[in-house]
Amino acid sequence: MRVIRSASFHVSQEAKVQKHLPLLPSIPGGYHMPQKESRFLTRDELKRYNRQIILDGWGDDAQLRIRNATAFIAGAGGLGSAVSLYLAAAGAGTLRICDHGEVELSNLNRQIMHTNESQGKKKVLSAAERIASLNPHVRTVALDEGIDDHSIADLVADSDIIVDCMDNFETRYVLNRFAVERGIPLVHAGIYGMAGQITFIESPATPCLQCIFPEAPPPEVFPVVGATVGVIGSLEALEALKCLTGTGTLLKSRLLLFEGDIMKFEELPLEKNPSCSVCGGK
Amino acid sequence: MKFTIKYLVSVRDRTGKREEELDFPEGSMLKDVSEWLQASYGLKLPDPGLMNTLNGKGWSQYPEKMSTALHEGDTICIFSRISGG
Repeated sequence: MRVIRSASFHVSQEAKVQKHLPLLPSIPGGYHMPQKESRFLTRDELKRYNRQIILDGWGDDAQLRIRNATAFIAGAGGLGSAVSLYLAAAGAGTLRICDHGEVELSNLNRQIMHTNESQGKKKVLSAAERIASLNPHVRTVALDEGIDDHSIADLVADSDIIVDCMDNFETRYVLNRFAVERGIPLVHAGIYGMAGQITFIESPATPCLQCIFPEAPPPEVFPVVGATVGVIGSLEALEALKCLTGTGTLLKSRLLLFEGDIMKFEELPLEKNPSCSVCGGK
Repeated sequence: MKFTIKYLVSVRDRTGKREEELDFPEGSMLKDVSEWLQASYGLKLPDPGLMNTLNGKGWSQYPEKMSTALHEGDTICIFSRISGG
């Protein structure tokens, strides 16, 4: 597993969590990052995040909660681009971004975290560089690794939330099983063409992904317009921020379907499956 | 007995409409809806690429499966499974 961090400041702390993981050189940025335990925002942070701090119900406390939080972002593609950039801009303390791919020309219509110059680079490295340039307060842990039942515990580590930015259901089911087992909130989303879907999962209070979609759809090369992942990825980031700050009402037990071609949203109620193979009985 | 059926995402392309209200005889079941969908739109259910819900729950989650009875005011949704990211 290749692990790349955005700030040497936290390498030793991270190494305690993942002693067996090799360390790679740090990415520039993060030098102004305050200690995770700090109970105060710096002058720079107060200015940077002012427009969200003044939001009713947000304030310094919510901002500190974001800064102290860790989000696991599964996938650094289309959805992962929007989620990573908005969480970084909002001041998330640590982003653990996981993707095993490299940036290709055909990614660039939608994966806006990467640039023309990123082609051929590992996506997680490209992501860490982009985030460092956007907000040096954010620590990025770049995880160049596939996600499966064996690797997921080390990958997610101490994350407070999992954000599903994957492009296949097999891996989504891995995320779901782990989230249910550990009681970690999971934001699920998917896209196709100009359509998308999103729901917030927090088992056992809500249906899990297996309850909602008991079977994986057939694998396929999916068409996608970049703006679609922008819409759905932004909604994912918003759900994650609401969860981390304790503000607003989460998209629990509801599936929001977006039909961008006719510009309609449809909200479907969801129910738990008592005989679900993952969360049934909980 | 009136109920609503919604065709979302790519299913809408096959039906030419997003929603309609149907009036079936009392005692009708999901299998009657399935037969009607196949006759009307060539939609054969279950389809691994489609998701079918009755009042928010997948058809397969009902203990009676396709023999689940419909009731006045029910809502059925049929939509494509969305897997991209």
